[in-house]
Amino acid sequence: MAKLNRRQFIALGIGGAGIAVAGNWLRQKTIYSQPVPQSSANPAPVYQSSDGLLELDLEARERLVDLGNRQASLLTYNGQSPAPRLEARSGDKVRLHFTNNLEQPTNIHYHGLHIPLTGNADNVFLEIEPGKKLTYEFQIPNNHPSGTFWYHPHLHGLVAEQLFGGLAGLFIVRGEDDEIPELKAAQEEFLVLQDFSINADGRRTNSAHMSLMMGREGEVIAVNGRLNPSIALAEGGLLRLRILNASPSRFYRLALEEHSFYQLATDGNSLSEPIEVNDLLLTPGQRADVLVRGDKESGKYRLLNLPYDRGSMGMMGGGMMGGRGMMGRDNRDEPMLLATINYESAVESMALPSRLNSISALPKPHTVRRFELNHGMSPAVGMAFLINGEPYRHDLIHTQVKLNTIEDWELINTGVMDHPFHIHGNAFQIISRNGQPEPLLAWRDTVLVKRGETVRIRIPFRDFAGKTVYHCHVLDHEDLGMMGNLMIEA
Amino acid sequence: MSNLLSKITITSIAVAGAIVSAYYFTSTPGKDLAATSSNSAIAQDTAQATLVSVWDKETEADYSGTTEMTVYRSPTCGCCGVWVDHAQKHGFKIEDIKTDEMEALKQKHNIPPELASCHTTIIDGYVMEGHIPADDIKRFLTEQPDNMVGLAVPGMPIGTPGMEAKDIKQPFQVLAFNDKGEVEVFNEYESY
Repeated sequence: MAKLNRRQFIALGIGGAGIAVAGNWLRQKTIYSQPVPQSSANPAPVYQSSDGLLELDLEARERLVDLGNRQASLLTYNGQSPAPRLEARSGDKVRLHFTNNLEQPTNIHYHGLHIPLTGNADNVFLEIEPGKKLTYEFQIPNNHPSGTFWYHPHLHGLVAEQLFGGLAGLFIVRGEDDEIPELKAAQEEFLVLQDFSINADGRRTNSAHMSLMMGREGEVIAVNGRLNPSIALAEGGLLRLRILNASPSRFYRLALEEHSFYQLATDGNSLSEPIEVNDLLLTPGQRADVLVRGDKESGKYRLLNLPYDRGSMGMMGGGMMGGRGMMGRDNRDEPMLLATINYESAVESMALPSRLNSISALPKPHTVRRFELNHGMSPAVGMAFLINGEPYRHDLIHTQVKLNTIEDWELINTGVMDHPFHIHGNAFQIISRNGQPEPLLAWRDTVLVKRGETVRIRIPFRDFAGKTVYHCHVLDHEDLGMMGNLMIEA
Repeated sequence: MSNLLSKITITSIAVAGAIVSAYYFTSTPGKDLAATSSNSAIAQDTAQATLVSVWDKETEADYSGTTEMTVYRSPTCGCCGVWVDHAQKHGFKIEDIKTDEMEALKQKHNIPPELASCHTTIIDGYVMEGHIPADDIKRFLTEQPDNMVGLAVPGMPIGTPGMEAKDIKQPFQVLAFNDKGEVEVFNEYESY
């Protein structure tokens, strides 16, 4: 062995250390999932997992963005609203390096994902102060359904405001359903429905003037951050629309001129076979995947938002309060134009899939609980939204259940407004509405309970124990008390 | 010779130390963790008594007009009943009618949809729609402005009589309207 003197030894040591540092730095840079540019109706980038990992930086901040024919100051993730789409496969690990550059505290809820409820996963009790960072980290279970899920803020008291500001993005789980040949062949488009209220100077309207009791609605309705975008449909082909209602209060009753929808999935969960519907009602939080057949005469067809009365009454702003326009009035009277489908060059005729995923009805429940939904005066807080007569309190566990059990929850809306009920962490099946058995066997995480209606759902509490919540997904109702803490005990 | 060697040794150790520290500080991004996981109990101030309303104050002490009114409301609305209490506190005598036909009733009285609220009050043939402060009703009935068929506070602004909540006082207007649905601002509450 050649003899090394001290000088040579030290020089080699420093050189080696230097190489180690440089190598580590380079390795860090390439490990993050790179954004993939997109085309067509959805211009926002997509982050896809690779080698079993989805890792990215996510920043919440206010930014001036293009909204239709003007600029608006919106709350964005990574400068965009809707936020970049995230895609992962079941079994993947997800690592999200989140920075809060808003002026308020915030956090993130992964709506519909069946992942841990504690730690740095789908934990809505986390509070990330302005300027601070948090790394969200979780694994998507191996048998997770492939479907359309989403992410948005969930800090109680600020949820409606932050979602209405524009903080919402799709989280797609890729898997078996995407491999079904007819779905693979179809043209896939994502539609994120949002509404905004923007002043003449591009700033977001102050909530003091909004209908908080009804739930705030905005006069600007955007699809993927754009007004009336064009969506191409090949003549003879299939268009797979994956639709998210990311509005805090507005319901959308969708219909496509002269075309029906073939629904494939509810709230990110596949149906057992496609079902034909003429219109589709989506409450805030809900998703629907549908197929559209290019089997009509070539041309342009409007995707409309049809009127639907969710119990609205004289939405504040009916001609007063600085004349913000007839907020909410539109939904009651006239259809609104959301997007336009344009037929394009013909392709070989595509068939609908005959079967999708198999769904089994859940077995009988261990327990039945009742949840009465309304608003009213509550001693300590005054007017509030209530579940079983009580508004939300941080320090109580309102409902306690056991892991690996199944329960029936009877949701009874005794009030004058529609309430879409959402439970974190586990999907459920609808058993009946007003005593009538539900004909469609499907998994959902958000169910509409209309005013005066009783809906019975069956929910299995699987895999993950911990404290989470259930609430009305008209987020002003949630912020004003229509929420409860749910403890799932191992 | 030994002095030179020790200088080199010291310098080398210092440089190596610098490289090691550089490695340490650059290898873990996002080190700041300032999230608080509040899964533990937080004491809530439940000692607060039932709210005292700002609307309990009286400004129309000399009112000498009609006090009998009929209030129509949905059997299940959670705030209409609280407004009825407010009206009673201010001396109105209420005939309280619960009905499921609120929409038809509002149409019968020609209430423009954009002015609608949850409950409808009829007094002296005038329409009083929603959570209107009692004193505004008294002033309207005293003044009886030309052509106006009633007053409205559209929707359910939080903070109005019957809609009081702890921390929220939304600014609102009391609108007078005529039989064509045209409105005038009868009173405005920016803060209260």
